[in-house]
Amino acid sequence: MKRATWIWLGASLPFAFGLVGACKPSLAPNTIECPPFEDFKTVSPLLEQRCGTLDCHGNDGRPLRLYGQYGLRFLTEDDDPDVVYSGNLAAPTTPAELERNYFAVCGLEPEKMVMVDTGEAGPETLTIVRKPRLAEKHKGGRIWDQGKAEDRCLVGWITADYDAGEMDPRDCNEALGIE
Amino acid sequence: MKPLLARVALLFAAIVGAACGNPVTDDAIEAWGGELPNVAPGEHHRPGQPCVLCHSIAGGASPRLLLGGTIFSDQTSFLPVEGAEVVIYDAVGDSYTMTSNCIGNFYLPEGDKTPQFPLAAEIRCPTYSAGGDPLEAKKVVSMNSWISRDGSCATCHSLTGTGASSTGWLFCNSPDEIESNPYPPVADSCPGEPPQTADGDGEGSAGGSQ
Repeated sequence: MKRATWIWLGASLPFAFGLVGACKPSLAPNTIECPPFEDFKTVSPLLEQRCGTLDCHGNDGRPLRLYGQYGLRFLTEDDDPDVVYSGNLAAPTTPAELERNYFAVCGLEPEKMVMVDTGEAGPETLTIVRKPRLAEKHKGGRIWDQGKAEDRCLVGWITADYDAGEMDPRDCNEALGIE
Repeated sequence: MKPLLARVALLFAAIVGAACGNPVTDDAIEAWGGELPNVAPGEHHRPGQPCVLCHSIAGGASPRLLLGGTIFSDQTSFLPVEGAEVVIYDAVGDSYTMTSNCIGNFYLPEGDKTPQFPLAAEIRCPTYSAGGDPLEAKKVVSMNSWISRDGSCATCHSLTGTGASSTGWLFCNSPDEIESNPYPPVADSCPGEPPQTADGDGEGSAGGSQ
């Protein structure tokens, strides 16, 4: 092989390795800023009850996929299928389902959720706030009105004007009919 | 119209017509297979299957139905319950009552009024003495969640029983009521046939949901 060819190869190899390296996917976990998980357990029951039935967002084909007592169930290796799949809505929402609901809500519009969480945008920026108000087209129609207890529960959590774990549950409890 | 132009127009219409099908709905319908050989299409066919899947604009079957489902005896059986009243309460305060036929099917065809989602539902099941005589009393079973938008009960209350995305088929009797409230077998005069499990005995195995 001619000397010029070796020089050409030598020059090309780092470039090729660089290209391959550039195409390698980052394996770092994707993280976003989202309102506190500790307080999501106050909000999730509302979403499960009003949005998470099997014929709506309790469906594994939906971007906003909600698990829970009133719809789709998520089984971990530690769960007993006879308990979780007992029917008649008898088995309460599991911690794993709560966690997945949190991922679904936070990951629906992650960039916008960060903007809302950091105060750069208002909660009405989020489709999860607009759709139940029917401020955006929603096949399920109007689920609640702006300013009602259900709306205040969700928006109150999203705007996170409280210390983590200290969210006032009164709006969510009122929306769920809990005394 | 000239023959060539007419042919082109027909071809265009056929292409447009074919393109308007919903492949998701078509696949879902095809997955249910054909009719049973001894059951003609009608109000007694396909018990336990999602009625509105076909009886809708997308499904194309006539008549169009707004709601529909099937009531079975209990969570271990596909024995249909005749005479169960299914009462629907809609979001604007209207109520609708349907009654199950001899194969357990009930349905609400398109009419003057359309139920507005979300809906609440209850079943008023007929009752019998332990000896099999019909009684006056009804046993009321209420649905614990609401129906958000799907008129086919079997979409969620599927024949596969309880699982991740099904709360099991609709039934009247809890396990301890099967002997005290025995439902009669399907009458010979009934033009329908209950669903069959893989072993063909008509016995459910995976549970249902009240």
